[in-house]
Amino acid sequence: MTPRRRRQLDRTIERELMGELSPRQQARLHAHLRADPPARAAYDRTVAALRVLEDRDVAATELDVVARRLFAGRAWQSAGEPVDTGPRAWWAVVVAIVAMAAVVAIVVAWPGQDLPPRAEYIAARSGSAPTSGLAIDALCGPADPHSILHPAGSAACPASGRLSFAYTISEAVRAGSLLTLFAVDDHGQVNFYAPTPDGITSVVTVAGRWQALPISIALPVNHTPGRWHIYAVTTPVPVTPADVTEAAAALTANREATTATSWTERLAGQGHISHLCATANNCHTAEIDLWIEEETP
Amino acid sequence: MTAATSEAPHITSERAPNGWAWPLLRGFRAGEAGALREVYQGHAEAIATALRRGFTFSAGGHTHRFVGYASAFELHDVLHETFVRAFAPAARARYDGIRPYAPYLQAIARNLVLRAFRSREVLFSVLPEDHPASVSDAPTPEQTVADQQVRELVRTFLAGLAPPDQELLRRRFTLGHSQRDVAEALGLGRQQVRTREDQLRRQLIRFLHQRGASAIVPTLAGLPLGAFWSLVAEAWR
Repeated sequence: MTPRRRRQLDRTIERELMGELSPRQQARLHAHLRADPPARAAYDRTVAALRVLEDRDVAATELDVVARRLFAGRAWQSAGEPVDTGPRAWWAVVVAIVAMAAVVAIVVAWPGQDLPPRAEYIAARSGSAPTSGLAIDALCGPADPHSILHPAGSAACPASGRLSFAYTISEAVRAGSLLTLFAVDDHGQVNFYAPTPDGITSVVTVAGRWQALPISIALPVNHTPGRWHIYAVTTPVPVTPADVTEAAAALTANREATTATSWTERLAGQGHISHLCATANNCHTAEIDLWIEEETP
Repeated sequence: MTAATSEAPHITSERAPNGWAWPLLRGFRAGEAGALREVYQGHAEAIATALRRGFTFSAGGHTHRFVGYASAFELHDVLHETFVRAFAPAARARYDGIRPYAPYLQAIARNLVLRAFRSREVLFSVLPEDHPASVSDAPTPEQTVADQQVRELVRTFLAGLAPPDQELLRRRFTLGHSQRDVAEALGLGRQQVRTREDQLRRQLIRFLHQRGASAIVPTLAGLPLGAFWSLVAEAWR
């Protein structure tokens, strides 16, 4: 193995163990490890060191690695066998994602009640002096996947319901930049929407009218009732779940800071996203609060 | 005084017979991702540990011992396959919520291991009839060397960390405190502890790669590591 390939392998193993590979990249790595004993040995050595670090027979990191393989892109609810996201099923997954995006888009842009023009909406979201070319909106509704989602606005979303998001970018934002979206509650708990540790990547932005994100979130899962702060950012390069975790921690620690500045500025130089936005021209942010309310019986 | 009532008291249990909360059992059977994750988190470590440590079984008139997976990658494959089978719709539908779930998972994992019995006899040593305790669990000379190498590498890594990071790792992994407890003791947010832990893992991985950890013999994943951390703790003292 050449030193260059060795470094590539080391880097890929690192990303696998830190939860940064997409399901497709993960499947490719596993195929490689199965076919290449020295590569497999390198993987095993790295895991062995993590076990030593944690002083456990099986490191927590390993269980997370297997969990990601188990849950990324699988539809366990289906009557048949779960859908595998391996290379053979790749096109099926793409078709499913496109179909899901289409369904959500239809739900968001419901007839007769179009969303406001983006310029007005951005102004409304950002106040009289908009600082960002990005606006986001949370949409929620009942758990029934066929029901219509409505902009949450100042109303609370039902804890048993479903959540999705829409976004719009102004002319200042270069189409094709990547949208990252995540939520943090008042206790610092993070929910990843894009990217996720399960392999969903940041969303490639599209210019024009409001766009629905191909995300449908069951609120009973990982969303405790209360206030959630939703943060979005467009960046020229991909952001990883580890970067999101880093930003969420800094935001939680710095919650009392004024919200007059963008949230990436409030990170005050902490973490990759902050550095990225300090140097990139097309880094735009948005943030909203979402309330999740437990229904009374 | 208690008011009399003509109705018998209505007793409901918050938990299914297998010990799960009812919503968890319903979610599991419906294939809800959150419920499946909860079940995975509740059982994965025990199954993985069994696959790492091995077990004994009888075949062909002999008692064999599966010595456990030396390869972490192979272990991950079997752990993954165990839950893929357990979470398949038909398997979920068959599970009644009355019997405990752990033995069911163990049986699946065991069957997956035994399927490889004929082709991988190196993993299945025969135990002497008069020696029920496994003699095969003792580390081989190769493993002992690897053990020393990995100890030295991790010791060097730890020695190079700043004292606050050493303290965080000591509390988390030597003392076994939760992230929440460590956060409270160190005056940090829980999220900060979680993030720092991830960063330290990444640092360790990069440290190994920079040190050309290929010098270590390729059986490290099978090392017995139980006493290691106390050794490191001694070095710190």
